[in-house]
Amino acid sequence: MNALRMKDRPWMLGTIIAGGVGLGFAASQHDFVTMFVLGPRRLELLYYLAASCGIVLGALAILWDDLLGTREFLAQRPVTSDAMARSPLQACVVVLLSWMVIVPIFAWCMTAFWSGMYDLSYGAGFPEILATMMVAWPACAIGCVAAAMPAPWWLRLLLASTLTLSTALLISGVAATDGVSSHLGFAFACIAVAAVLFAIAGFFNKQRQDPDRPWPVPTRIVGGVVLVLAFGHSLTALGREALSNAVNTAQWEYPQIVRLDDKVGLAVRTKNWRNWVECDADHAVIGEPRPRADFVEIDYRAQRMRDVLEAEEPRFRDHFRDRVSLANRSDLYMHQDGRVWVRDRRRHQLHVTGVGPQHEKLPKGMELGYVDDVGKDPNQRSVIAEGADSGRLLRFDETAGHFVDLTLPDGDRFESVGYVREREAKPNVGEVSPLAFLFVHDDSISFIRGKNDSYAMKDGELVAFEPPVREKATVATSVRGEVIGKDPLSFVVEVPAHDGLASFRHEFQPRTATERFYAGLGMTFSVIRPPLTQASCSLLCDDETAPGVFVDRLIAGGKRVWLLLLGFAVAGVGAWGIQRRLLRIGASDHARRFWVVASALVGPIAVLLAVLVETPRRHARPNVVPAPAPRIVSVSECEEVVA
Amino acid sequence: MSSAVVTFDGVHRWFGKSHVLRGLSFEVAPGQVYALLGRNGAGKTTALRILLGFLAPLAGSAHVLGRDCTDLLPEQRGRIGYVGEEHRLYPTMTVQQAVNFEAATRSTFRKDFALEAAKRCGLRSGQRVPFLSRGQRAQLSLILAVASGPDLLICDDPALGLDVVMRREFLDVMIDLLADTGCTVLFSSHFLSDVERVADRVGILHEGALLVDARLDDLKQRVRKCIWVPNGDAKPPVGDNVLRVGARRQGFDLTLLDATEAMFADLAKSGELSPPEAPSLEDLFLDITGPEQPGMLREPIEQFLSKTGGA
Amino acid sequence: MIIRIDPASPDPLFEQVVFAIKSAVAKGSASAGGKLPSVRELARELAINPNTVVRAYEVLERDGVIVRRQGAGCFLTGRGSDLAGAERKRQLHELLRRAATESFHLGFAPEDVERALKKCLDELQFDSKGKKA
Repeated sequence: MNALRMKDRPWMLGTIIAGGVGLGFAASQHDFVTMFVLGPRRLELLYYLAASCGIVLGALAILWDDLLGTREFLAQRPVTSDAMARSPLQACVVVLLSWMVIVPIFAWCMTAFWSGMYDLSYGAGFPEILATMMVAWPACAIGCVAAAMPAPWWLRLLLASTLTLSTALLISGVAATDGVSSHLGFAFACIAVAAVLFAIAGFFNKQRQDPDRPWPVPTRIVGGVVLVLAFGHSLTALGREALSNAVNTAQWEYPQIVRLDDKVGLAVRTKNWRNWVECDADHAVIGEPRPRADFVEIDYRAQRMRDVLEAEEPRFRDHFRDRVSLANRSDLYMHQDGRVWVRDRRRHQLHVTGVGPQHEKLPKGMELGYVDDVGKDPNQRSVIAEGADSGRLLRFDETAGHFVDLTLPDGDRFESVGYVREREAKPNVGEVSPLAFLFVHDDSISFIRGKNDSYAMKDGELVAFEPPVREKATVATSVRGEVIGKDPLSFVVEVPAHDGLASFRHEFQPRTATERFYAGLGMTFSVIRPPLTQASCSLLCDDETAPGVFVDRLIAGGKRVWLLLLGFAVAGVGAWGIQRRLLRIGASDHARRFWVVASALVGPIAVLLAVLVETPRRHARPNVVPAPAPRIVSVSECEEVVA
Repeated sequence: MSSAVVTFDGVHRWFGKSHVLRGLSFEVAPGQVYALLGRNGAGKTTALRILLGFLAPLAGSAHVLGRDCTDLLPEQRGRIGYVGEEHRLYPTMTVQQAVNFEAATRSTFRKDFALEAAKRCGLRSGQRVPFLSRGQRAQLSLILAVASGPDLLICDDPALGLDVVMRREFLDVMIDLLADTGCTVLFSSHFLSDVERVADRVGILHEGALLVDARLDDLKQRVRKCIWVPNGDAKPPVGDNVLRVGARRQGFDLTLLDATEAMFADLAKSGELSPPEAPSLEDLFLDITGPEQPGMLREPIEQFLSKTGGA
Repeated sequence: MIIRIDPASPDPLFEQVVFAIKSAVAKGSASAGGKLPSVRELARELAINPNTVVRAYEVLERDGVIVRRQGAGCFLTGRGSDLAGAERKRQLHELLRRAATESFHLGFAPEDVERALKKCLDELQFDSKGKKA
């Protein structure tokens, strides 16, 4: 309703301007070419700032009247409660749309101003900016939901945090494949989450905050489900994080398999990391600490639990390939698809370049680099583009302003670019001046390695060059241990017989107190995670599947059924406990049934939520006795009207 | 169904452990001016907030304009004008914008009337609300509430903190409203002299329930105060007629309800009796809600007398 | 016509208004056919509830002291109350009984009361027909 918008104008204007400018600055992280000519891969600052601004916007919209103390003045308006509840949400949408318009334009102008280049034909970064900014929509919706929920302020803050984590995981998971997010995918996921949360916020906004009344049934269903899902999902993710940390630490505590004094055995690090000490099959220390060099490690790769808590900004397809600086205060930028630009910083110009006077695109997969000149000017280097797959080598001719092909002498084929350090260089370049002059500014020299020979650059041409050969130390033993078993805590490692040593076999399990402690810690987190996710993980997660927040390696694929059942038991005890508590404080049947089911499915976190939400104060029913008649009464003047 | 504009029916409300309203019941007839009085913390503001739908009663029900207060529709809200204790308006608005806001959200609002009235009170259109004095804000609040021609005007201690002149002007606006429209008024106030002028009916709220729910004229006619110095061992009267017995240096202050001539004659015989007079509303309020009220059946009169040492 | 009220007085406000108008008529300071102030004006002037003024005017109309003309206002008839004799007598008795009771409480003897009454009547200049001169 337009009339209600009148009272919102001050904060709408404030947030549009502040948010637009702030986010505009955040979006101007990169220089003009990286941002708008090539296209950025990720806009980290913009993402986090957009999310923060979104949450603040949502909370401000809902709480504006509470901050000003005009809540009751507003409630006097003869407006339907639906319109009243929707009004702040509509205002939020207006502000968000304004940001979507202002920020890209502001960023373009800002970047162009700082880079000194105003070229309207370049606008490559707009989809990335808009897509990254889409995170402000669900963030705003989260702010609205948390501000509007009829619960104590600290529970609302907690809900805001858990919802942020939950939705970030969800959106990242949906939008990204192989670590690359699609613009439309990310935007669509954001909008979908925002729409659901806005609807919930609109529902909450119609409820009255009243700590002395229990939640009406619809509020309990919506609010309860939101709380349980948000907290449950977050606990699953954070629990998984803690679980993997604990299990990985336990694994790290395990002794290493080493070769020592003609036998294969186990050894652990001491507190002083330079010494190791041998230990027996029970992981107990035997013998004295010995220097690290006495031991030769035998590698094995045990199953680790990966860190999967990825709730970050969207990473788009990488357009930026390479960038080098040229001699005359210019830069060369290369796009992934082979297009190259030269940016003249002094004259604020940008123009396309490429192979030959026609400025053809470079082949894909090439990289830019330098090759040092061994000619008369020792400080000179040439910019080259080299592609190991195509075998093509190009040199950037700065006077001509484009790339030219470089051919190796004697029909040799290009292999790679090599580097040699000052101390190691023992060149044999014949008529070239002593190498001492070459190392005035740089302590390494880069040269071209061909199939047959090596070459250095001289006056734009390649000449033969003899790089030193470095002696490599003998490689440590190449034997590896073979891991049997996919469990991160209990597995067997077998080292085959080699070099005259007998074969070795050890079963790793938590044996020492420290290992048991960490293993126990991990199992504790496993037990408090929602039984629903644990059960599905146990039944459905194959050991080979890629890890995600739901996967618990301790029980995946049916391992450690006892741990799974322990988790069920804990949830069951929690459900029974909450049933008794709710009976005792006089909660309604619906409340009791809801929370018992939630506790059975989602575990201890639901029990905690039930305790926080269904307080005794809400359900208290003090003695309601009718008041005595007033001491002095006159006859009522109201007539009975027959309806 | 009653024709009452406002009905409270056994309303209970508690906040945590404190039981603020204990079975509040009263009615306000159409066209009446009802004054809800009570000490600070007696529950007046809570009762009015329940009436306006900001709080829900935890037992009992309240109805306004025929509708349950927890379920008010825009129609009812449009017919109710509210002036609060703090006169909260949007601090970002000017006087003109506040009037515009009210006009935009209420269809019956008379904008010219409101601006006219504001000008008469000395308010300029461009003044921002936070820069108005308390009295000016109160006047603006009242104008905004009244200019839409409400059927029911609810005021929660509107004259608090205003000077005498402002209070009289407030009263004038209310009287104009009553004279022009048949508006019903429910207000609470600490200024009992104003209440005496303007109220038809008075309700005295004490610790969550009504002690008095009567017409002002009735109160004046039925309640009598006198000073009585007893002879010898004569005890002060007890019973339903006695509202309060207060000890004096010599004798007692008696507040009596529906006292007969015979009673006065008896008292005059057994001691020295001052001429009975009707107490002002302020005196009545003090007697009823102040401490030491053996007559209000707090404690037996014997216990009270033994504490004060008798005559 | 001077109308004064005292909110702290034990008499109901509307009765005070009625009494004030009747005394004005009795004293002669208001003439027959004179217009009474409108409800709104009188309420504003006295700072009382307009309902009270309305009630007072109704009582006066019932007693025949004023007459209401639609659209024009209320006018004095110049007469005393229009009531039947018995009712008037009853009201007179009631008035005097109250005065007598109060006087007793003040500690006056019946003779003093009679003398004071005569003095008041003299002040008010009643003619032989009982009407004001």
